[in-house]
Amino acid sequence: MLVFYLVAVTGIALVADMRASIASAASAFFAFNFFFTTPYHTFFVANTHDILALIAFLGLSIIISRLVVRARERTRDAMRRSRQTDTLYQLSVALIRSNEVESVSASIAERVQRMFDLNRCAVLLVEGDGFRVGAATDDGIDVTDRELFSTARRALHEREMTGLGTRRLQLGNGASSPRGNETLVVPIRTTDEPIGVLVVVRDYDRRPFNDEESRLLVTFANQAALAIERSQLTEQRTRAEILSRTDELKSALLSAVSHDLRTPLASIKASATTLMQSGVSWDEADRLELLEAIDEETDRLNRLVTNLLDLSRIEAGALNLARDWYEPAEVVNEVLDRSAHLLEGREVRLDLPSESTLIDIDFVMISEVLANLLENAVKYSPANDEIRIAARKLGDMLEFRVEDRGPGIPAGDEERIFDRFYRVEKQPRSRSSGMGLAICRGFVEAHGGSIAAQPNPGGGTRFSFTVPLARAEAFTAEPPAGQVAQP
Amino acid sequence: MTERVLVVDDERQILRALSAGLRANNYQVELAADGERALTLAASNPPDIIVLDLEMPGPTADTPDGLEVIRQIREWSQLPIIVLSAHAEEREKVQALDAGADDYLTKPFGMEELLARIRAALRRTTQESQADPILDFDSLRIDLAGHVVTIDRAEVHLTPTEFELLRVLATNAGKVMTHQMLLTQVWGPASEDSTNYLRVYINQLRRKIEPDSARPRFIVTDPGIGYRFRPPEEASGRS
Repeated sequence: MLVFYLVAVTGIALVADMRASIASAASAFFAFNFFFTTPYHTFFVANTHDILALIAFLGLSIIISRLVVRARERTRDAMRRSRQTDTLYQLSVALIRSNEVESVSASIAERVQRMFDLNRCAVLLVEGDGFRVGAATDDGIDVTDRELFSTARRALHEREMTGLGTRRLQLGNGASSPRGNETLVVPIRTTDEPIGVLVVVRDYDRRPFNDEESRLLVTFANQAALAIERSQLTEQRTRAEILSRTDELKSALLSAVSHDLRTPLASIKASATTLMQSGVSWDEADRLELLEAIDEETDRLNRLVTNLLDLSRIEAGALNLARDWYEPAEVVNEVLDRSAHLLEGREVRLDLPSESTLIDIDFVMISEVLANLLENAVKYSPANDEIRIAARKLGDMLEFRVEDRGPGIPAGDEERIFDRFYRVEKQPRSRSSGMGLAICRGFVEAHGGSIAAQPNPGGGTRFSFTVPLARAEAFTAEPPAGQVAQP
Repeated sequence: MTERVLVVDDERQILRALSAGLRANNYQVELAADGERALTLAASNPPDIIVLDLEMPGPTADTPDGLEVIRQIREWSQLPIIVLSAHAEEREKVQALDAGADDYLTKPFGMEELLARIRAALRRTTQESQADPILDFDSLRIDLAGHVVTIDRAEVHLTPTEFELLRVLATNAGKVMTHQMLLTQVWGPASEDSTNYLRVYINQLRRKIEPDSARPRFIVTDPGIGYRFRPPEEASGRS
């Protein structure tokens, strides 16, 4: 019988709290006394051994119920803690994944809203003397609201979560719960740096924030502080890098301009003033030489100015492609004609597709690329060695190749030669400004192609670049409109 | 008889250099520093040819820019106009050519090049007066009336469109024909935007009449602008 009562008391302890368990233990004690000890149906106990048994029973019931309730609470605690840890873990994983302040803030706001079953959550970031919305789950947060502003300032300053008067922040769609809502402002800050505040809004109807939730909110805010600080630092570093790169470009440009532009100017000035000297009679050969110097140097100046303009257009992303269909041969011919003076009769072997092929390019840009590569090949290979220009289809692209038998590009430089103002170290001080190949890359990439340099299997260098083919379906089509005019 | 050249440019140094260079080559030179002056001079005493800078300030009510000068002159005269442009942009040159300019030169240019263009333009004006039904270019012979094209006396079969394209190019030999000019003259005014078809036909035509279509000698591409039919006598002069 006694065992039956003990089971009942344990059972109650499993589902009820401590007070109910002790009450059930006590009532079991009295019921046992009433029904099962002599004299029956009274609370009077006749036998001393019955008294002892009853007291033992009461003690046992109380101990069992306390143990059971405590165990149950511990399990509940453990489960809650594991849930919190889980959420915190998920939050930190999400925060580590994003690098921008905005997306970190958004990720915090969204998770906190879900975790605490909020009506609204926002991350406000310190900006100057005020705040700006880093992220909000809806756009009802007004950062210019004076009470919100001063509460946020106070929370940050006192490093404490601060409540904001009820009904101050309207719920979404302007509808407010009849009992208003509770707004908490949680400071987000590292030890030294105020970063912002977490604003959480919840309807009273749902439930008020309890201590447990408040503690958790603080933990979230601390996580947020670390994550936002990290992303702010990353952003600052990126900005600094861009700035220093722009700076680098500017100083490289300045030195290029001052050196490369001054040199031809100096020779022009020297030649012209020499010719102007009065009282000197130049023989025809000398005169011609001076004049040729002027002529060549103006060409060089012109090329430099064009290059600088092209490069700055590429840097600014301001290339305007005048695309049209051309045959590869048209580009090659134009380049060969233009480079005739450079080639000085040197043989260039052509290897162009025999079937009809049209490419969709800005002619001026692509011929510039080819001319540049040809000029390089001429400059960096012995005078009698063969230069080869080839073109072949490669999927929906056409690949041009310019191959020479020169000394080749030092290993490891194949990529860097396309950087602006990069000059290959081992080359004798050339007249190159380090712009040509950078421009080539800019032009080719603007066409959606790619350019590369690699060792030529037979020795020397092979430059190759791709440009898009004209869309094939239009090849066989009839003229779109109008009749052929009869003569 | 010495031909009279009207040079129009707002840059004093350019006027000075061109005037000296042209005079040394036995041309009579008149100078104008703006569009207004150019129009007055051209109207009062028409020159044989105009060399015109495209980048003069304007247009305003009283200073027409280069393009406007071309348009106004074309209202009453077909005298040859060569435009000068410092821009690498093709659009501007195409505009000038479509407005009626005969040729263009990009600054900076050499004096030799300008002289060659002037000679070619003047030669075309004297040729244009004699309408010959048979055009003879070395091996290539075009019978406009009979619609027959022969290369070294062997007949070449051209489609009507190809023949028409060749006719327009060859009767304007030496002159840059913009895509738009060729399209409107061959296919009619509705086809102005179909430059890609033009390319396909040029491509076919070259395969039929060029001795080496990979290195065309008759139909030369003016990148971004159009095509010109290069008569054999110019082929050696220009490379």
